[in-house]
Amino acid sequence: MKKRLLVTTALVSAALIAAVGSAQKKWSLSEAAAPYKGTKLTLATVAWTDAVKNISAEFSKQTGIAVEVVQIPGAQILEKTLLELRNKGTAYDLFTATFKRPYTKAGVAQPLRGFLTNTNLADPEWNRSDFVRASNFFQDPDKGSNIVSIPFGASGMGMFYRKDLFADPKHQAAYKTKYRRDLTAPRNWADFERVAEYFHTADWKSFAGAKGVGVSLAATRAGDPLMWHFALLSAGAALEKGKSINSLLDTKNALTFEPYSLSALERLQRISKFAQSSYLQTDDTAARELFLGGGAAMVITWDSFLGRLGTGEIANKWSLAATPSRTLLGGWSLMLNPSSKNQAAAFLLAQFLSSQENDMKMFELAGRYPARASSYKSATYKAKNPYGEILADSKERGMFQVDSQVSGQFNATISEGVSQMLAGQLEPKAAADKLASNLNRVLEDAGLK
Amino acid sequence: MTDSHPIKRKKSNPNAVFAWTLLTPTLLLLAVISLYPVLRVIWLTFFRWNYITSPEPQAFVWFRNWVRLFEDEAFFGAMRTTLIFLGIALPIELLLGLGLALLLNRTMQARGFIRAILLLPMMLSPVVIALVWKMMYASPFGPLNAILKGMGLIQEDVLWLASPQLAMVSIVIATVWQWYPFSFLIFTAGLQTISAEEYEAAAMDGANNWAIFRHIILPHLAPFTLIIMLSRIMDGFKTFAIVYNLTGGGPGDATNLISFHVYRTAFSSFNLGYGSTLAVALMLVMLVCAAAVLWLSQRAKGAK
Repeated sequence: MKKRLLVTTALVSAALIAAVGSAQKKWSLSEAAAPYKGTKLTLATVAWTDAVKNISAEFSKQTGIAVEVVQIPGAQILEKTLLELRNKGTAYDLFTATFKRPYTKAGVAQPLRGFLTNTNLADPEWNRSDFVRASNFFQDPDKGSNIVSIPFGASGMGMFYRKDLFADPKHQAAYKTKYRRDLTAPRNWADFERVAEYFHTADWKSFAGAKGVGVSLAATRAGDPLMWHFALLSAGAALEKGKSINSLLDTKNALTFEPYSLSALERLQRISKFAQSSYLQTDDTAARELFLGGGAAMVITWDSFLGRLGTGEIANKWSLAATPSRTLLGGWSLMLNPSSKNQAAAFLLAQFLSSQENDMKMFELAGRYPARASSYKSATYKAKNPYGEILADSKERGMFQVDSQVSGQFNATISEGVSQMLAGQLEPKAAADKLASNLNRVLEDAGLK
Repeated sequence: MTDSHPIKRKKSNPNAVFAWTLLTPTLLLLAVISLYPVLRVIWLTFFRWNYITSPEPQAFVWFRNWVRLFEDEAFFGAMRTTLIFLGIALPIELLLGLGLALLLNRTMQARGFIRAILLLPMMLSPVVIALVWKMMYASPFGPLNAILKGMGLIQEDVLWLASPQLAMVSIVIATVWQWYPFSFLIFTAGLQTISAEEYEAAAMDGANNWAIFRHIILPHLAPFTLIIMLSRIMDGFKTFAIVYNLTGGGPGDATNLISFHVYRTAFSSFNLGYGSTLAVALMLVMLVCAAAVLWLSQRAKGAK
């Protein structure tokens, strides 16, 4: 009896000591990375290279793991990484991705659950539930339980407008007389069209003294924001009806969405009349420049534009609203190369880059929008970006592009159809017909129809 | 009876054996790096293959890709656009190159320096050229419009890349600017082959400049013109970087040249089966064009 008691006491004590010991032993990056000291990682990023290098240098200092950062343009990242991964290449250990389905469908998305549950590698303070929706998801789009990526930066479109013009009593009165409603930031596309028309015809000048236009439109065929916004509509996203563009994949027939496409194309054609005449050769950068120079009353672009608005004549003359109807969301995530020999080290780097501290640091260093909900709520972020909440709202009401193995083809097809209509080569109806037929062809080629 | 015509035995030529021994490694290398890829691409035209969904060709589809090609309006549209592009750019390049070569064929100060300057655009990357011209064509603030306005030739900015017709003109201007030095270089080389005696003899016969150009220079330059045409037709069909960086094939499909179209089908769509079909079709068209140019030259020689 005594012996049993002694053994039990010893076991309980041992368990308690172990529990207390483990609770006291704090996870540390340098210890977790110790087995990989001397390893060299290559990270491919689409942007923010200097900031990523800066944070990676800190990672190297703490871990002894060297990091080389290479930049690949956003338009090429899918093509380059997919070909590399398909060929079992090891040029990149870690890379930024926006669409995940192309990788999961190709069988080259490295599952991450094993790393996230590995107590040696996973930082217990790294909170997985702290990412905003727009930062892109962790999961394989087809198998929710399969985690294949780590969110790394969110973005959404915003509608930037000239608050000085909107608040001008002269314009308010004239607008009310003409449209029998108040001049406010547009909340839907019909409003947007009216406001664009008003400011296109009203008498006001840019900072350089040129006639101002209603909206700064970027519509080169390479694909630019406002065009994409409409392009999504025209693809049948039926944003105003609250449906997701991904339902195009469910119906497997783009013709189903043709009425919405047609209406969106017609609207785009009307709105284009209230834009600068050079919109077909205006890319996103140039569209922003026009707004910065005070030449347009409104511009819809990605939220990264906020970084440009703090100085110059525009500084106190602009404001930001959520885009009409629903907005387009973007976001990047980090994915691991399944052929990499340094996966554990690469995971540690991904975890480090997406930690709460570095999430904010990426915003401070590069203006890249945070991926973490806590960052948006933080006083530091609010102080630096008073429009964060508007963006957060925009993100809540937003939607993603089709995350599919055919995303690239969808975008190219839509871009072509919209561009042909805007260039006057096709009437909206013909463009909508062609779009639907070409999108169906894309689905058919990919075996999705 | 003995045969008065003894059979001539073929003797192996030791020089030929030696030559083949030397050539074989090169031929093998060429076969591996040139012939195999071409044959493989031709083979792929018979498959359905979406590279995203499968690392290997998915299904043998016989001639379905070829049937699709003949029904593909976009392919024929891109081919037509490419021919229009070549039809405008090539004559301008030839005329400009010839004119400058003739101009600089006479003794003048700093001739070597001017020639070197004229050759510069050819040495630049097409991507750089596209970006430079993109800035030139910009509106507002583009230097080209500013120059034209300064000269009083235009009142309003010309939207170089915003109308389908002008976008094609813009692509042609950028291409001609890059490639006229090639024809200039070849024509300059051609002019060097004409001896001073020929000019002197013609002058003694009382030939004026036009007659010298018509009866001495042009015939001498004919084979050089052929070289330029062949080379530039091939290059023209492969024009990619300028379109990719300057217009993205737009507006609409106004500058969707065939090479860009093939790239988009094969690589942004990862449709390798049909992309291969387009590439092989392009190769066949180029072969036909090259054959036509050669045939024309042969015919011209025959006529002489």
